[in-house]
Amino acid sequence: MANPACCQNSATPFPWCKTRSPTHSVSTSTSIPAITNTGTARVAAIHTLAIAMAVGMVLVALSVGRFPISIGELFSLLGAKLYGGTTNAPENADLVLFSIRGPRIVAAFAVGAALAAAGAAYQNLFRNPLVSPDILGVSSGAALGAVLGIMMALPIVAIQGLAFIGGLAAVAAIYLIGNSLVSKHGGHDPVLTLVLAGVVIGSLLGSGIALTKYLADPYNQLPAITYWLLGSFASITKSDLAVALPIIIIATVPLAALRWRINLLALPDDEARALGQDTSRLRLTVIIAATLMTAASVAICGIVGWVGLVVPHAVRLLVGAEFSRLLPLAMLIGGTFMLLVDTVGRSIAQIEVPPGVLTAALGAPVFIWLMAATFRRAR
Amino acid sequence: MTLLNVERLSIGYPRRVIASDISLDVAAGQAIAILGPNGSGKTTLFRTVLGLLAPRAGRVLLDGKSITTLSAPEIARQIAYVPQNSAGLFNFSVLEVVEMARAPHLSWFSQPGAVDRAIAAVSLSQVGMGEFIDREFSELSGGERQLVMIARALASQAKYLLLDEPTASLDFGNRLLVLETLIKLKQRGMAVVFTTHDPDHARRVCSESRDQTLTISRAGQVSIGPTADALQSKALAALYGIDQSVFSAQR
Repeated sequence: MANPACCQNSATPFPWCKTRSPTHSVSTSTSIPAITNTGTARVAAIHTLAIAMAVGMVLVALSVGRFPISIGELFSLLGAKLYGGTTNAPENADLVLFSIRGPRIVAAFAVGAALAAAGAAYQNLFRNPLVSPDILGVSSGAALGAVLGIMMALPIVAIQGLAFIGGLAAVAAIYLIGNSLVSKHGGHDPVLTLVLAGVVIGSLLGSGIALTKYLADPYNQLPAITYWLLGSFASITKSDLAVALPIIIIATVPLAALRWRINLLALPDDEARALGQDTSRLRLTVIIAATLMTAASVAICGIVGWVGLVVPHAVRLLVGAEFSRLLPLAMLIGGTFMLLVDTVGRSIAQIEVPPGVLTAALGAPVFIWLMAATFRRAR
Repeated sequence: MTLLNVERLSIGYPRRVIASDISLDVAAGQAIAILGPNGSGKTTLFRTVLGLLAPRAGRVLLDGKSITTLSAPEIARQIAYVPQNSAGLFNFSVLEVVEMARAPHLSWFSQPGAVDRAIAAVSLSQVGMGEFIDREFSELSGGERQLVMIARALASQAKYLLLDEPTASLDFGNRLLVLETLIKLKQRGMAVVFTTHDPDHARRVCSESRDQTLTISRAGQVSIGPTADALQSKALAALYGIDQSVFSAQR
């Protein structure tokens, strides 16, 4: 029997509800409560603000730097590029904008958005708001791959390729180990098993990285390794983007398409399966998508921590946990945040401050503030 | 007549059978209470009936078809599960939690629409939680959460409702509220199967002649019968391994 039909016939509210909360007694005429839209206007306002901040940040990032370009010059250069004609901008401004600063800005925004998307998906999947995209070892695997590439003095493209493959391989190993443990000995929480396998393999990879650093040439290789491990957007080129950007975009598609269903992963496994959801298939899809986008990011810019942890967590406090609302906003704010960090990093001092250092310096206080906000809400 | 039949079912894990030879017929408008000491396999029985765990022997039939031949959404559209103490970890709204029950009715890439929203809203008001629709699930009290979880089960439009200790860790008032809700659902024609540690709860909900009580002992011995028979002090003493004199002292 269909519920809506059956309750239209027997719409009388339960009498005990009235005794329970007299002010909240259910109306007697209709059984369908009104769904107010107070939240929708707020979410729309937050979206507008986030888009405005993103656009503003892109403009600031385009103009700020060792070679300052004013906003007027910026628009005239863009106009010249799009519609032809001449500009009043200084010589070389064109080169700086479209070959150096432009790709770097696109990369920073894309990486920030990718890490925030992967983090948001993983926090749902692991039912833990404090999880970052590298919980399944993608960063450790990529780092080991890159560090080995640097040790062997391979060209940059090969180092990036090794980092990407290393990240995928680490996650694949952890997934296969976790999955085989669960399928051999049924009745255990598959998510917890994955986390534990991740801890074990991650620490194994970490010791591999440590060994490589110990053996590396302290004058050439060690600085390069350290530089890579801290992350940087300084050497991003158009060809890096041409490979990484499509991977990030393609990996975003399944997360966006499954945006409502990913909510079910936040439930305990049995509960989601009792709702008819094939959780292992959905989980694998999310893991593949998040791993691809994180590995592509890490391969071009090294390890930048905190973004994938703090941004989705903060956005969840703003708009709630519902993934179809969470995902677009997390990507927008993640991209803006990463762009802010990179812009500050390249203009604040004589040398470039690695984004990994800045995200930590910004992320740690923000995170403590978020915890305080969460505790305030809980009271 | 639609039926959920459990036929000579053995439940457990590859190396350990927890209880065997469980037979049970569940019909619309019927309530069945399941009692047994901790670890006797009540939750395992639910997981097996839901198709989450393979039966060790025997079978579960839904409208005459073995559930091992049905897809997970097909089962979920018929049998709804209310787990024990669902914790609100993330800040989903009550409506969003209830809407999740529409998953077995939707394709992988679709979102719940206006109809699904209306079904969720109706389900909430059916358990008297209509006013809570925009609240955050994690901010609710234990009793309110339990009612929302029951509403979620209703929103799946299943005929069979399996509730795992629906009254556990609730205060006295909320316990009565949940039990009354179960009775109403039974009267509306749903089949209500629930586990409990309190024989009084079984007596309260399963009071009609068609209702039954199933007991599983620690050793895996299963018996089923009219509630009054199953809950005689002699039977309870045997079930929980205590002396019958405890009951006479109590009365």
